[in-house]
Amino acid sequence: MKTSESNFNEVEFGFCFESFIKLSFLSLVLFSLVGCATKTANIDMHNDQGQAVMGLDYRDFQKAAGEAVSSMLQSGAVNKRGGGRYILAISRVVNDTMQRIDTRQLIKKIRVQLLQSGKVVVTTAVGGNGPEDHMAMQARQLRESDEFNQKTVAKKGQMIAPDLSLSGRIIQRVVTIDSSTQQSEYYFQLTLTDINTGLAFWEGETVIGKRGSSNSVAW
Amino acid sequence: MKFVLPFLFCFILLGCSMKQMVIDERVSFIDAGWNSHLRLTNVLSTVSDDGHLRVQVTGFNDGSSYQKLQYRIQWLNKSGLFIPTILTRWVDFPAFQNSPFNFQEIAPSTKATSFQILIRENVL
Repeated sequence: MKTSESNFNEVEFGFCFESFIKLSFLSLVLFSLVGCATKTANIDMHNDQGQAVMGLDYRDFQKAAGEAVSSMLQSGAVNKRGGGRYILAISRVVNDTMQRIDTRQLIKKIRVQLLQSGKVVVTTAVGGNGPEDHMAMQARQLRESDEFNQKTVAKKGQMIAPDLSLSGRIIQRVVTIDSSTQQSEYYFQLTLTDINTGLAFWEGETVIGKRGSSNSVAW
Repeated sequence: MKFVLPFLFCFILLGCSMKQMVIDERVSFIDAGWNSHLRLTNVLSTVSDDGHLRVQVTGFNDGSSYQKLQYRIQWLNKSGLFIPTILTRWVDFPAFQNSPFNFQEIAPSTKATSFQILIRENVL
């Protein structure tokens, strides 16, 4: 009796030990997997020390926009003679890169800063790709409606035509250095044109170069 | 003559070690370890005809190696309040070995009357 009891204990112990080993191994695998996963963290926009990427990221747009605004203000191109503010229309900014870029990301930064400078006001009623805000024109259709107090409807001849137009292009050039290294060059080219004369009052270019592995795809 | 020579030698040594340097509380170097070879030589600020504050910072890199640096400028209005702007960002600039370095900035609006500049090594 004693012998069989002891045998039973030995079998039970062996079974438990085997389960324990299996469970430990599974836990170890799970822990390693969790440990390998990249943690998500918010980017510190004021001090982003993250690695550069071959494509364009927000830092590149910040740099291009900042340099453009700084150059425009330094050049005096947005200083209206006799004071006051210029009316700026946004013309076409062409994305000539392999990346899908909404060029409004760049232009918006420039617009905000120029508005804050107190030298420029941007019109949303006309633009290179049509009006940015269709409501300015649509609201004028209310002139024919009896439902609206006509005193509150926009009058004729109230809109202000633009003095300046901002246009540009983002170009990408890829250079192969060797079998494992490539270089991506991005050119942010912007032009400020005086609509009345058609002359370019200001032109600026920011070049951003990146060199990295050929395996990194820049789009 | 025995007494004059050591004095003369000391004067020459002193003369060599005295380099032009300015201390401006508006400009700060972050991290005192790496900037021992960098010194500020001039901080110039003027107001342009259109009322914008312009700043030019000049310094010298006495070290024998090229330094990739960054500056960040914050603009303040007459009340001392910071003006939020995209122009407040870390901007790269080079400091070549045994050479002067400089950079220039313009205020984002005419409301800016003062500024604060931080300079650091570009770690990227």
